[in-house]
Amino acid sequence: MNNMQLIANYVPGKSFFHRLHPSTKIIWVLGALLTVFFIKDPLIIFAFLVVVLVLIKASNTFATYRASLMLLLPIIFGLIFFQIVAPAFPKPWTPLARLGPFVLYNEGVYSALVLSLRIISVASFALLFIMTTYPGDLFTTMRMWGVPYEISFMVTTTIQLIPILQKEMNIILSAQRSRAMQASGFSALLPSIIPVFAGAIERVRQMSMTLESRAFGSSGKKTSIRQLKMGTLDYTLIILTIIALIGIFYLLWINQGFDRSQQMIFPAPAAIILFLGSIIGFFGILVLFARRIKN
Amino acid sequence: MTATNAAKEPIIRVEGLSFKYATATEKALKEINFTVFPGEYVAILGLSGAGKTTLCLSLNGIIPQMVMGEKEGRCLIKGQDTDEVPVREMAKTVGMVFDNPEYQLTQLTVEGEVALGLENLGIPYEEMLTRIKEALKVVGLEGLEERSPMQLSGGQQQRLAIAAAMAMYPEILVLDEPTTNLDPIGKEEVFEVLQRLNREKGMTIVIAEHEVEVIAEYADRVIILDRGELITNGPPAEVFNDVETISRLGLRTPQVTEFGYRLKKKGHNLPEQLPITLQDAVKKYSGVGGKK
Ligand SMILES: Nc1ncnc2c1ncn2[C@@H]1O[C@H](COP(=O)(O)OP(=O)(O)OP(=O)(O)O)[C@@H](O)[C@H]1O
Ligand SMILES: [Mg+2]
Repeated sequence: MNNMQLIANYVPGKSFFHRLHPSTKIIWVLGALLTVFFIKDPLIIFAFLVVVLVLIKASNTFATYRASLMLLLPIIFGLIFFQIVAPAFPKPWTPLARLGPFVLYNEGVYSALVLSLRIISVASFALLFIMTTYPGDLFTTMRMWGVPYEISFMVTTTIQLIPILQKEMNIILSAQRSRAMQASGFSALLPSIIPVFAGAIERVRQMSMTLESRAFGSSGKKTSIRQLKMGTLDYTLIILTIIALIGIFYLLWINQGFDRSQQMIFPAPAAIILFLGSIIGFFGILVLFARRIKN
Repeated sequence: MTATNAAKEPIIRVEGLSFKYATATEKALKEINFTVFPGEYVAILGLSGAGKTTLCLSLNGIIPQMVMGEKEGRCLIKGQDTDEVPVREMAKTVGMVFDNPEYQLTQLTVEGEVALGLENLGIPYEEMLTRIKEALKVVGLEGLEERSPMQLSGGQQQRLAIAAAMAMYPEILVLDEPTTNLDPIGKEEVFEVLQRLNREKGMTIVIAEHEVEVIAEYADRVIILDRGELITNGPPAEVFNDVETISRLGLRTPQVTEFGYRLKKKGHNLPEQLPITLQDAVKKYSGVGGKK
């Protein structure tokens, strides 16, 4: 059975991003999250997304990334759909077109674009971080920052659990198939979710027993087989990042977050295409999922 | 128990230990009492469900700290109560190898798996490399350093789990049926490694095991559990000579002992104490049939 890779996890490699200290990358992710949250111009966010995609490509993690994105897309399509017909925007709304019972609004298209681009770009950046950071290093870094043991443990364990859950899922699906249950298509997913979660809880339990039995989180000095050090590059990048963030926030402040909702008027066909596209996209992904599970 | 032990403090002291799992109706351990002295090699024998795993997990505090249930009595490791010392601190003294090989591997590479415990003990980098190399060599996994533990066979996973615990050089190493997935030769190898650690490093070994031949060969002492109760506690030669008790419990004695026991019943003239290992048997039984 081929592996159903649904969610990102660490992809071994030696790229620029792999070599950066997790601290540097965490600061970048947080910085990007804050910035993107305040920018209101979809074009700028789109430009940022393009940069992230280039970085993902350059880190040799694109294949894993693309697989993980599949999980996010249904949510994005759902969001676009609802935003267009009921924008999260102060009224009055400007109607662009009417499709049966649905009225499509200009503000809806605008906020659908902004929101979905925000989510995709921040999620992509976070995925890049997860895919290029060795889980053990993440734990070490969190502890270095003074994050409590329990929280660091939870975060790193969750990330490490992902590949295990995928394996469990595959085992359960093939077990159901061998018992001649209908294990193809989307309906196969449902009866397997409960055993997978039951299995997950048992895994976490066993995993924390194992980790504690290896003195994980105990008191005293720690060493690392991975020589994890903040390099000159990391310090330089962190300082540059902070300076850049201050600049960006100043620009955002004086430009009102580049709000272009009043200037951007979308042609009605564009709204219709986006609206129908979100519906088709939503169901398309579900069908794709179902097909993947099948073989 | 040898005379030298009398002078030493026990390293493990279990006093009136009982445990009932939260979801169970009956106690998994009932009023267990025993002590283990530094440098002993103790085997725990018992049928499935006898309480071997429960007892092992009590020795580093996982029971009662991480498993829900009702505990009575005490379990002292070097005088420290397992109720009070967190498992992660106790891990510096007690190494643990669990019975399910796959679940206890948490790292992305074989090397990382062995390194984990060493990192947490703060072992310096250079020494860490030496210990990892040594541990992997001992269990026969050298050359697989970069492999993912998920891509090992069941037997290899068990070896890795043993290497990971062993490399920490714990004063006490507890192993819960660590060789169930190994072939007979692999099993012998593991037991020999443990014996070396026991003899050369003075590591105290507590191992749950159901194969009596290996226990007879390697252990200094056998503890037999039956439905949560401690039935016998003594040197293998004594314990396995009590063939009636052993078979009443549904267990086996080593085949050479069984062989002698049956011959004796038929009226053959055999030594008072029957041999328990093959080597021993060759010595004691030679002459029984008369030489050509
Ligand atoms: N998590 C649990 N919850 C409830 N009862 C349990 C749990 N684990 C074990 N038990 C029960 O406790 C008793 C002792 O189990 P234990 O696992 O210690 O036996 P064991 O000697 O290790 O057996 P095996 O040789 O099969 O590993 C059994 O009756 C078992 O059913
Ligand atoms: Mg057991």
